[in-house]
Amino acid sequence: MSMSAARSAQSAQGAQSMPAAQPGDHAFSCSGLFVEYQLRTGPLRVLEDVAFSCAPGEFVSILGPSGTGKTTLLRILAGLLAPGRGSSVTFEGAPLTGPNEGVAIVFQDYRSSLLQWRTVRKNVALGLEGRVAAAERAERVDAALDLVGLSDRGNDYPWQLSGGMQQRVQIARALVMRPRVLLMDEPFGALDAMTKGQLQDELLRVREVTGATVVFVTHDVDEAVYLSDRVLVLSGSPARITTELAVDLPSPRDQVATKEDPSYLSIRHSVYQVLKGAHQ
Amino acid sequence: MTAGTVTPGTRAAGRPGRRPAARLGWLAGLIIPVVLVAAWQLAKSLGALPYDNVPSPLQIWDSAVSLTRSGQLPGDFGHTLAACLLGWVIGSAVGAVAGIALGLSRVVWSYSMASVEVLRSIPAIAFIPIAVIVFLQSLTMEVAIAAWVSIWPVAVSTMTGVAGVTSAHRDLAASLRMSWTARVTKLVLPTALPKMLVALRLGLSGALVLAIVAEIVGNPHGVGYALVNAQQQAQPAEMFAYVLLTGAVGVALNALLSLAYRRLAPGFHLAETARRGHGR
Repeated sequence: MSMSAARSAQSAQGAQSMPAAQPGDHAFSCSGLFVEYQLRTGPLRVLEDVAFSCAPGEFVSILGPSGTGKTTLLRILAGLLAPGRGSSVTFEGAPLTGPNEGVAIVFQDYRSSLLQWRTVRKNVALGLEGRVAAAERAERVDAALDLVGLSDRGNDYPWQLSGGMQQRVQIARALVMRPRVLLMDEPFGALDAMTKGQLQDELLRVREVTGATVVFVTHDVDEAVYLSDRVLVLSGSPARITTELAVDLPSPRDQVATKEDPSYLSIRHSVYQVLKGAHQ
Repeated sequence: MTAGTVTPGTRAAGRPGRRPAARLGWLAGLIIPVVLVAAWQLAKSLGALPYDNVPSPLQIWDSAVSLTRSGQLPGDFGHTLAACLLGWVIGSAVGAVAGIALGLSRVVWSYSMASVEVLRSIPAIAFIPIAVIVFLQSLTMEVAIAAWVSIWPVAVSTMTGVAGVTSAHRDLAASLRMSWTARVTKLVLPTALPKMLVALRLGLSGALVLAIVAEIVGNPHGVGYALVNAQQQAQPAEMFAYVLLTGAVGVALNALLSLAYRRLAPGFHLAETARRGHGR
């Protein structure tokens, strides 16, 4: 937890105390969170007694096998899905009631999430339209596109771009809102290994520049360990957070050096042990 | 960090090119009409046509020229086109609003869909005698009939188009906290637009047909009345001139509508072309 504690101390909210002591200091905090789907055969509990919090500026990964309810949990944090009655979920100290200003989402499926009839620029501008004057909007769109390296593709349509570039457009669309928190749902899951590595590094750099809190859902152990300050393992049925691992690796991270670091390997080892245990 | 290094050449590959043969393809379509007209003229000149009241193409041309010089033909087409276009615009607007309401509101759908199904199954032509009684022999009567026939295809297509808004786009709109108006104009209508265009074209040809029929049986003005008048005065060349020009006007209106779609909504047009291109 030393990394996250250091980050929260650096951040604008700058708390000296431990994150757990003042709930107002958390980006997100939840306890006793559960979700039940009503099926014909009766209620199906997907998440049970999920409790965690993340500090401002922290990079937290939620890791788990497919179908454990990772996306469900992220949708709850995004305010797109209501948790079961009695669950406690707060965003920046206030109970979460719906999508919050200051929270932006990057969805898993870029193809269905981008508006194919709008140019890249107009896709990125979508959330600013009607809220920010045209001149400032253009400036912010330029800055966001620059941050993801798509400055020269603004007038193209999404379907003219590769998968990796389309996902960058989605990231730019989120960044242009200047979010304090980025929620990412397996954003690199559909990309090839090389593009994935490249985008991971870009994400870390963007996060460094913006200071945003990131909650990152993935089923890729290496990705979770490589990117995060903290990894939460979600497993079981109904799923709960079974393990929490602090990732104490130096920044900036490097695809080669970090992944050869003995502590990277040992954290990776523990995560695999946990996942293996969960399956037995 | 430069975007170009990821997948060079996608831009060029994404834009569909037309083969040179396809560019001149429309000329091929002229061969049959030219041959038919020539054969018609030849048959008439040789006295081989058994029907005395079928004029030769040259007679039709002469008659069209003199009707144009006298100002009668432009005036008649102006009247009919005004009725057709005005009715089409009004009907399409009503249809679009009705379609959005039917597509977005379960309540509206439940209460109105049965009525819509009944009303749109009644042939619009059957309403002309009623329209004549209500609006008398007026331009309003023609406009009302043209509007009526335009409403239904637009309403039904808009409704199904609106239903095509994906859950991914609904999530996006919610997370960007878009207003209801923004959702309708930026997500719902663009999603429905390709389907609406097909309906607008159907509605336009329907409006032209119904405006002319309304003139034949109701309001003694415009192309419809000119046809009846020419028939009563036994002027077959005039009748043919009007009929053939009506066909040309129909083609021109359709082409204008397609052109407007390509110009005003380039993203849709290009995306559709690309989709078709990939399917090849």
